[in-house]
Order: sequence, then C-alpha cells, then structure tokens
Amino acid sequence: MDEDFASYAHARQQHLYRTAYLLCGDPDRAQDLVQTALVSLLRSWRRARLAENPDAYAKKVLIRAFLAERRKLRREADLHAYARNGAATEHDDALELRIVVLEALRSLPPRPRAMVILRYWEDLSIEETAAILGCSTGNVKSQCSRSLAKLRVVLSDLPTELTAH
Amino acid sequence: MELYDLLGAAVADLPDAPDLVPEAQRMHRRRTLVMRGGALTATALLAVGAGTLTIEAPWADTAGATGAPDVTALPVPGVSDYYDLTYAARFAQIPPGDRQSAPELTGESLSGSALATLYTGHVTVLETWGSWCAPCSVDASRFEQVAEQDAAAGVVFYGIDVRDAGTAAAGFQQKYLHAIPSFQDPDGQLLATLSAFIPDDAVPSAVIVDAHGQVAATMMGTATPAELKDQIAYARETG
Repeated sequence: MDEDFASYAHARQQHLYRTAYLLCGDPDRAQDLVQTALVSLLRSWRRARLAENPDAYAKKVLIRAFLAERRKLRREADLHAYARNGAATEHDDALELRIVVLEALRSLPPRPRAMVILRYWEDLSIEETAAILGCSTGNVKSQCSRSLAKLRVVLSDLPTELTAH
Repeated sequence: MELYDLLGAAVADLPDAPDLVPEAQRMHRRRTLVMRGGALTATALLAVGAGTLTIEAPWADTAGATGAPDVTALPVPGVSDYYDLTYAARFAQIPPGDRQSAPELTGESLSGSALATLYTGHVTVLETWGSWCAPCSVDASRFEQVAEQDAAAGVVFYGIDVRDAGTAAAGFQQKYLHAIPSFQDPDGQLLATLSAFIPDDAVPSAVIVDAHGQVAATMMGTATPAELKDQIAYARETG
C-alpha cells in the first residue's frame, strides 16, 4: 500500500503544489497545504482507490485544507503586501506575470477563487467542480462567470484579452 | 489569451517543491500511533472512572429504545478523518465481477474455544471492534440488533476483537455482542489479513461476504442498522 501511494504521490505532488500555489499565492503555505492533503489522502488511501479516482480525492482534500486554513488565518492583507514586495525587488517578466496573475486571483474570495482554479486550471467540468465544493452546478456557473468578469477588469492591462472556454 | 494558459504561464517557472512524500508518510504513521495511544488513555480513564462516577457517552440517550442516532447527521470532525469521506467512500459495494475471496479466519473465541469462519451458502458479516473504541459500543449493539433480526434469514455474524484483551474485552462482548462470536486478535493480525478490503487501523469497520465467500461490501466507521441491512441485502441479491 505504501509503495502504491508513494508512486502516485511522487507523480502528482508537483502538480498539486502548483494548484496549491495558485490558491494561496505563497510557496511555503502551498507546500504545507500539499503536505496536509497528502497525509489525508494516505489516511484514506484504500477508500480513495476503491471508491473514486485518487486525483479527484486529492483535489478535494487540497481544496478543503485551503478553505479550512483560510477560515483559521484570515491574513490575506499580509500576503498581498508580500506579493508586492516581491515584485519591487526582482525584475523578471515571468515573475512579473506570476505576480499579476496571483494578485488578480487574490481579488476573488476563497471559494470563487477555488472554483476558477478547478474549472480553468484543473480543467474540471462544472459538475466535477460542484461535487468537490459541495454546491450546485448553477452556483458554479454563476460564480465563475462573475469571477471571469472580475478577472477581465483586473487583468485589463494585459496585452491580450482574456478568454475562457 | 486563454485563462488556462495564463494560469499555466504564471506557475510555469515556479521552482519545484521539495519531495513532500516521505514527510507525509512519517506524519501519517505518527498520527496513527497517537490515535492508538489516545484510545488507550481513554480506556484507562474509563476503567478508573467506572468505579467512582458514571460517564455518559454523548450518544447514550439517543441510542435508546427508539433506535440508533443518525451518524450521517453528526458533524464532520476534520479533513483527515474517515468520516470526512463521502457516503459512497465509507460504504463500498463491489460488483459481482470484481469480487475477491474473503480470507478464511481461524483462531480462538474470547472464551478460548476454537473458532473458524464458514462462508458458503449464506451472507456473512465480519465486524471489527475493541473495548477501547468508544464508537464501537454503539455500533456493536446495533449489529447485534440486526443479527437477532436476521438470524432467521441465515446471515452469520463474526466479531474481530482487535488489540484488546482481558476483562474489558469480555465485558464488552457480554454487554453488546453476546449473540455474536468474536475472534481474539490481540496483535491485529486477523485484521491485517483483511487489508485488501479495509485499512488495518479501521475500527469499527465491517466486511460483508456473499454466499460464495467473496467480499461484496465494506463499511467504515459506525453504521446505522438500516445501512447495515442495505449492505446485507446487496450481498444477498448479487451473491
């Protein structure tokens, strides 16, 4: 069981890390979130393997860990400042883009942000997104379109216009 | 620009995280040990407290004559608990084509007589319990309730008393499970033989075996009588 888990986790941890990074915008916290998600997943490994695919379960525990942590911490303002300082000290196009995108994501509240990331980064369907967040498909549709409109405004400085499939 | 590409570009140059898997495995092992330690402490406290005061379990009044509390309505404790899993994940039903044979269990009953499983010709329920496990008392009394009702229908029940011994185990058996024979499993070895179906730290849990000796369903955590009956009916109808 351990080897089975280890090979899955090794294959997927960097992807989970990137998702976590988009969610919270901080590399250290993203690592903590992935760690928490992996421990959860390991605990329920057999169930996750039998009942649904482990990827869906891993995403679910990651998102839940993020939302639970957000409820506990409430320190978004500090992170906002952190991202700005990062931008001021380093001049690098890729880093610049990353910070712009993260700031745009941060303008969304946690749940809508998680929805956007599941829909447009993880490429999940409306139904899968609704299942992970435990809400209706109508809710996902309306929240996502509202979030996209908001992102378009925040990201209006980008050279090209933002589209979503 | 596609939002997908934009998000991808934003994390494309992000340096990889260090390997988090070994630490996750260490944390998992430590947590499992802490949980077992916590259960032992709770047993010790109950044993000390039994002589001096009565400790009412929070579910004691709801589990009265009217039947069992609805476990699905209980609050969800945390992201890492079994109860956090969906209903579908706690109660797995295995279609007939995918079933594996249940291991034959042989050992001793709590009173020391030889005990072995017989699977063919009837549905069998294997239930794990321990006198140290608080939810097990609720679960076990419900299992016995169902066992008494279903005895005529030919369902056979066995208990597996995990990492347990002495008068506490005997007392639990007498109080909650007197109609169900239980295997002694002091070092968890019998439970480990079921590891293809349930995790080796899952107590309470149950394995439901169909009339051909193949595992038809598994249950994690406490279950209501109705939920147990559902799994028995599934094993009977599809076995």
